[in-house]
Amino acid sequence: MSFQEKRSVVSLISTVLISVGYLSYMFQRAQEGGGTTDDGRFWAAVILIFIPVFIVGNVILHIVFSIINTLVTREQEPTITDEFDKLVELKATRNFYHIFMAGFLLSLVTLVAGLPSYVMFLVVIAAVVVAAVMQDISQLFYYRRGV
Amino acid sequence: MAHSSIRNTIRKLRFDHDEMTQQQLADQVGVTRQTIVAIEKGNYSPSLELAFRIARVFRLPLEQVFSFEETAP
Repeated sequence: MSFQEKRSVVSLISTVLISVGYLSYMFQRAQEGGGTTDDGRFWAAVILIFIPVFIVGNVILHIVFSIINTLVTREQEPTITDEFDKLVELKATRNFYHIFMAGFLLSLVTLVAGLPSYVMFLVVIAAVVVAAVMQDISQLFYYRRGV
Repeated sequence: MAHSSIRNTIRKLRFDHDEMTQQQLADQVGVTRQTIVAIEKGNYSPSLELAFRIARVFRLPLEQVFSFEETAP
């Protein structure tokens, strides 16, 4: 497995770990009274805090991966991002946006259908997580199967 | 997924050039080894610029490194 493929796998694992960890903590807080089920402010804060937590968590896990990978395999991390890497990244990002947009539209449908506002926020959160997971899977797929 | 109709002889050319490694070729043309692997397998069609750079490494005209096979539309 190449470095890029390993990096995609690590990214996938870190996306799942951070999302599950953070969201289970926040749902626990919501149940303990941190926010009522229809408290839009609470759920908006959950999404806003999720973004920096996700980025910082991912950066930390990638640094840890780079160190461990270098120690174990003595493999040098590629210092360049070439045209193939850029194309893979672009296509994976495109997939992210497609899934996120579908989730966002679905969240609007929940509002139109008269469901409580927290359902809309839950759908948005789910869309972000699923889109991020699919982005990592897409990256791995394109590196293995080509573009 | 994207097996292109562009074929190449890079694997053979590397072998004929003192068994040049994929990493050595990648370093000479300024890409990662993963990209050379993808090109050799036919999973990625390189840009024209990269194709010329690869051909230049082997001191061959482009058409002796890459060829296009017409497929039914």
